Amino acid sequence: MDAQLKRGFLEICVLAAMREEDAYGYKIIKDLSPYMEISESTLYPILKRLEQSGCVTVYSVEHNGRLRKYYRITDTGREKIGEFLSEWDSLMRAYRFIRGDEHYD
Amino acid sequence: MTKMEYLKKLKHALRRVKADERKKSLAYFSEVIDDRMEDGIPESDAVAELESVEAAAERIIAEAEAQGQLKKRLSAWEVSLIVVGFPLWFPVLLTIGIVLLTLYLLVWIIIVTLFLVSAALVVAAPAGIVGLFQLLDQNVASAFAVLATGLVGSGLGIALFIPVLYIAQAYLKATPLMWNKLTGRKAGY
Repeated sequence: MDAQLKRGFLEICVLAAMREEDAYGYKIIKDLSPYMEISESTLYPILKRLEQSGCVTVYSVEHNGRLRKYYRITDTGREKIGEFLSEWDSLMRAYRFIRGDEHYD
Repeated sequence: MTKMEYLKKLKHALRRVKADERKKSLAYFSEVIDDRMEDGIPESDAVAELESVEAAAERIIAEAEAQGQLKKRLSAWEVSLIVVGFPLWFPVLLTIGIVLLTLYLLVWIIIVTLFLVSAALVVAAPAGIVGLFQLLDQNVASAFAVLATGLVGSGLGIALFIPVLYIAQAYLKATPLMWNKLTGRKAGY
């Protein structure tokens, strides 16, 4: 998949992983692992970008004598998931066109 | 590879990244490894499951570059300015270095002097005893005065020795810390 496209897609997946409850790096990796392959080093820049674009907020919690960073989805982040889902139909139309399969359902 | 080794290598690979961002990246990887270990994965496996240091560094650097978080590289004219300015900045730097070294050694000289004073005072007791026997048949009062002075001197010498020893140890211990501060190095990975 095109790197740019994949990155945008992964951003939505990461946001979805913290939709129910705040999450930390390793938890996101574990939660996403049944659905896709994502490494820590891929996740790091994504989290960084989501934080900068105001889609998540970050806070640290002391855990077993060390600090653990938690990520919380913001309203902007939820809107982003919503936008992605609402674009799905047009995405599928484009997919069918790319496949050259007019009867794809 | 241990966690510390991985982080140390990563830190080295990220030397082009600005300090603040590099610190954040290292904290993230440290946390991820700790979380894996807490999940029951042995340290070496937890590290092995990560992407290689080179691959991880490449991603971090690419992102940092896109966000202007790389250290500024010297431009051609800055480099030439450094070269042309060599006769000026080198003697200044050398002088500062020598002054700092002198100050550092000066403290050692004071410590050594205090040790010598202490040693000289301790010798006063045996000297007092010798004085006692030499003067005993001439003037008993003077003989005992010499002995008393000697004993007091030794007492002072021993009393001085302990704090000086303590200061010397503390100063020795502080030496690497001062050096790290001077060179901007930090403890840890």
